[in-house]
Amino acid sequence: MLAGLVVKARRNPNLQRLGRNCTAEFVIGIDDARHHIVIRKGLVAEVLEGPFKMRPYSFSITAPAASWTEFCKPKPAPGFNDVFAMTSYGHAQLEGDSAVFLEHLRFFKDILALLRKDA
Amino acid sequence: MPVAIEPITGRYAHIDIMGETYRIYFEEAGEGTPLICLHTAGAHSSQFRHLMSDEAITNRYRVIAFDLPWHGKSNPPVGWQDMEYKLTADFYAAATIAFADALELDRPVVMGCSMGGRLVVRLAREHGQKFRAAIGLEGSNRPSPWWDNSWLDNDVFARGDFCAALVSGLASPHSPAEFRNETLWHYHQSGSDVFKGDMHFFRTDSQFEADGAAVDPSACKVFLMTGEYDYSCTPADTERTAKTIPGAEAIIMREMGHFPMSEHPERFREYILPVLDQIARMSD
Repeated sequence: MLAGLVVKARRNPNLQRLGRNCTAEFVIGIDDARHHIVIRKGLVAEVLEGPFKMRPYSFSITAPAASWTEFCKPKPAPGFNDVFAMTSYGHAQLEGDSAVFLEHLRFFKDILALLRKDA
Repeated sequence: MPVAIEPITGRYAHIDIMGETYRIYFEEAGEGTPLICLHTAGAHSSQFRHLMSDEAITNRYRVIAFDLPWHGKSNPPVGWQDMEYKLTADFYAAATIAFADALELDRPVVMGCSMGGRLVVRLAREHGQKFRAAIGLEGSNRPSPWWDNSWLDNDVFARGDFCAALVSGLASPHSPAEFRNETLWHYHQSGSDVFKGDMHFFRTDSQFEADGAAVDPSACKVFLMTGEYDYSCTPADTERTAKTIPGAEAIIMREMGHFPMSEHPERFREYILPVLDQIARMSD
């Protein structure tokens, strides 16, 4: 699901503009696997595969693989089309420092949209 | 080729609301039964532009949408710079009634979306004789928060780009990208902290669960129309609300999100035209 994210993000100058003031590390959790996404000034610099021992991060978005699979469809079913749809219906959890997520909300949502098959 | 000019006109009215005079902007098109449209939190009356350009509606309805004080091209009160905007249920209801009275509208239909969809439940109960029907789009009778109220302390709520990103997922992926993004632009346009002020009504001051039973359906029939992609007012919220209001009808709109009139006007008309037909027959 995360394969190609770095490349897709680099091809998107508007994404980099939106995140130009964002340097952060966040976690995408798929089942029990945790992936750290490293952002430097709007660039998706790295996607790091675990396991990690207490590696710091700002916030995490975790969901079962089946939920992410539905989220990644071009037109997901109701309840899966947005990270807030997923958290609202209990299909995903947002945890950690939500202030970082909110500060750059459009930027982070656009990164998640790159996970879609048609992105 | 002649320039395309829409049949919508916009004017300003000076209207007394709870002891203050407000300069209120409103748009309208069409002739016939008045149809007052209430926009969503942090947005403005342009959300209803497609209804105003639809001859199947404007040939028998006078479609009128006003910007609430602080929103769109309506002014905040004089002295706004020294106050915090917080929308209350009392003010919201009073503003809607004052607008209808100021324009001398004869038993209009009231249609509101989101926070407007919630207000119509109270209007139908308190002012059922004044409105011939109430249409709640994405409306329910109580707050059902999908984010924590503590977020409101964050300064991001002053930013239109944040408010747009907060609500962006409420639009359906089946709606055309052009209209989804136009809908989000309205949030970008908002004055700072206006969306936050509307949240006072939407999240705190709109417990109308007790109101529904007192609605008189012979005076004011209630229609509640909700998109299946709406997680702010879910289809379940809407169906639950409809059960508490005598004579209310719940309509769940397939592949639709939280902003039906502006995110997918073509699909919305498939749902709203039969409702407007039904109201017209009731009025005959």
